[in-house]
Amino acid sequence: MSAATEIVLERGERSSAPSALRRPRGAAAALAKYGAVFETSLRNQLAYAGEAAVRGIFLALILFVFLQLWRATYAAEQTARIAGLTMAQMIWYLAVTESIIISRPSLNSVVDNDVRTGDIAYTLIRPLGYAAYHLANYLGERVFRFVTTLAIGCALALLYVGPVPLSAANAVAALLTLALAVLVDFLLSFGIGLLAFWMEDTSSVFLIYSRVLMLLGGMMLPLDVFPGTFGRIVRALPFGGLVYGPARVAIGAEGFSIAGLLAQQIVTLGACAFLVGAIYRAGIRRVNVNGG
Amino acid sequence: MQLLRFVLYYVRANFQVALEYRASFWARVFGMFLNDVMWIAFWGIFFSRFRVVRGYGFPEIVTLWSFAAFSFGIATGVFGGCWRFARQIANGEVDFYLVLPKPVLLHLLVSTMMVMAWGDVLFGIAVFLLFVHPSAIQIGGFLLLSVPSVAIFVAYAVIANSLSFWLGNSDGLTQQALGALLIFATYPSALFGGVTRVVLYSVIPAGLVAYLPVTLLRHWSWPLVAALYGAATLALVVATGVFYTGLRRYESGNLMAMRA
Repeated sequence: MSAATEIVLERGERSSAPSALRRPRGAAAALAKYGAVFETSLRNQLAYAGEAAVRGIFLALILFVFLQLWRATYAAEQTARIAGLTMAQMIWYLAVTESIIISRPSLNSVVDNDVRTGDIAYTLIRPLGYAAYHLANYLGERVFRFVTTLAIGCALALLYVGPVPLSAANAVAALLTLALAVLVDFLLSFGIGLLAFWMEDTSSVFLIYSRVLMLLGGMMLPLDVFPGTFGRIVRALPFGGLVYGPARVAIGAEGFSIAGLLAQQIVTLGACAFLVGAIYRAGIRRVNVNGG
Repeated sequence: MQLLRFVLYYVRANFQVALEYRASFWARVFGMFLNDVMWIAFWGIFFSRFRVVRGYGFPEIVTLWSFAAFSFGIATGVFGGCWRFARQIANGEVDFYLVLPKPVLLHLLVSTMMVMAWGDVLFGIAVFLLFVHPSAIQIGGFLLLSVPSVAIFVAYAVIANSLSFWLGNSDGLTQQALGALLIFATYPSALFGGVTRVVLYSVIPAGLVAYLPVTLLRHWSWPLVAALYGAATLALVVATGVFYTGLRRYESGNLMAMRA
């Protein structure tokens, strides 16, 4: 439907010189173009309400299991706080981290498929940057999935342990750090998909990345729980900035440096952009188009 | 005996197909192995900070993980079709099996292999040998108990997939049902009490697939082993009944396809 609308608009523009002159150029044109991709991706997600429900069931199960685990752990330790978090805060923390992880689209498999089937050759000749197109698409999907999953997660946390004090300032800071985390995750997923230029199957690399994110990112355990030197190393790694950091800021950041987290995320983002850019350029050189 | 030969033939054929892409095969197996290692690392970190939770410590959770991973790996490695034949039912893709002389359900189960499952099998064996340091008798017990565990898992998966006969495409629901079993089977049983515990020994049989066998490995009891085998037989009978009852409702997709 949106594609048809676009054609009509373009025909209208061709028939009228002044409107053609008014066509946005430069950054505004790019914003409109990728904004349309973002919007289309967001709308596509509305058709998958069932999938959101399935994610909700999974979240309910995993949070229930974690609730039993942490309830037993707090009781065994005979303490009100573990890693600075009360029992209720721990469950809210897990609701946020699970939402971050569950809402990740399987971008790597799309890019992997594009490379292996040769579809990337078609997309390269379109008036869209390949990476920018996937970014807009990824963001549309991710925003919808995250918002719906987080809403379910918050409802479940409320049901299981009741409310915890949250502040607007922390929510804003969490959103900012989450935005940077999402960009880093996009670059890494995109880069793993591009490895299909050299590998038969990239799904195992993505599986390892996902599991590293779950453990060293702090999805299952706040990184403050990690003991001794190992804990200090894990907290210095960039994975915490993708999951633990935004979730820790969201539920309260006493003794936690938001500025430090932002700095770490910006450095990680820059390094990932450089690395993935190099992979992309090297991969594109391997594209061969024969015939028509 | 003839059916066993048929199953073994398919296992060999599935391996030959998978090994055509040798690098991909090993990458997947290694990927799943690392995935399981990550979980053991999680529990290692957890129990280095909190010593014991309701009687469970690191040795107990390692035994649970090794057994669950091994059983699940065998179930989906040998009977890989059990992971998602709900979609084949919904798409009317069961015709191929209906016209061949072998039992439809068994054929559907063994015709697919989940390559990653062999990563689970290797992990289960490696962790059991390295961390549990079992005696020869314990190794025998491990293998003996894995038989009913695999059977119950496959039976549960068959029932979950067969929902497609009545609900249309139940793939999402089936995946959730299988996921729920895996989640519960890999956490300490002592965490769950009351109604949840009853559910875990009936509707979502994590208790029969993992908790009871692991308890038996530590405290062997022949009557309980016999009961477990009885439960596995009953589960297979019920699953077969559910599948063939549902099959009467199956509608062909009239698909033209070639299997080479």
